[in-house]
Amino acid sequence: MVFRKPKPPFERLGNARIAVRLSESERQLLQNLPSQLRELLATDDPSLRRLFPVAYLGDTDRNDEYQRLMRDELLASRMAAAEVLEKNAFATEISTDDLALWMNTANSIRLVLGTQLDVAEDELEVDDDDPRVPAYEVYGWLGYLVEYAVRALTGDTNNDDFEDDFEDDFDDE
Amino acid sequence: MCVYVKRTGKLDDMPVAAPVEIDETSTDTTVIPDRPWIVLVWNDPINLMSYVTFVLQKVFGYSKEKAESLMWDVHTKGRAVVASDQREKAEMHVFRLHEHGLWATMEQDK
Repeated sequence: MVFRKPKPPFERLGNARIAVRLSESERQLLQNLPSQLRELLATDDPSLRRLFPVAYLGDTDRNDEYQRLMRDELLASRMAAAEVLEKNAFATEISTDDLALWMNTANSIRLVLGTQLDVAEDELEVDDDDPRVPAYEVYGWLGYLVEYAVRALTGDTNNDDFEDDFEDDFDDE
Repeated sequence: MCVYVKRTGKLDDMPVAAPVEIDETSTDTTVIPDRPWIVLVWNDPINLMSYVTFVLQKVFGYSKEKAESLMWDVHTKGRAVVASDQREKAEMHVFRLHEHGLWATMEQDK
């Protein structure tokens, strides 16, 4: 049951600063997940495919060339963004630039989890005893963070559907 | 894209590893320099609609209205042309979209 409207996890303060309101356990996840992502990025795990998409459809030569030129840069960019989140996961105030990197990394992890869970564009329905429940919860929670990061970065605060949708799942703990 | 509240069926036809069609009669290396390259964004079930809109604004400097309209095209039609440019610039756009986790490809305009 929800008795009060919770404050958003990210709030713009002015001077390109963002207040971060997250619980201790959420921050531990924010520290832990990027480190896992960085470990995964060092492999060629198939669940990374959404992070390194095809650039030229049906043109293997050009796509190979694109991957040869760009893949390392893309990898370095993801590693650097993940490191920023990992390092200041416990900060109560960050810059808007850092929030953009947090959001980027949260979204990258979501893409990996979504790929592992084989998420489709349908309502998620899993049984409570399904072993994938924890992964789905993290997936949903990352979506919540990305949504509020977008709002904080764009100054959009008047659309509440998403929040209402999430209260059922996340605010009664 | 993922909206959480309601979803409108399957539109996701983005091949991850695209089947390669080999046209024996044409040479792949021929590029007509005058035709621009188009950048496409494909619908996917993971990225949030608000996030896709935000990325289109950030990468291309589009207004929220234009970015939202493109996002809806992606969502309802399965893909949308989000930019048209010379090859090097189009490739940089694709890279930045990939950096943000969007499914982007490019091809020479027909």
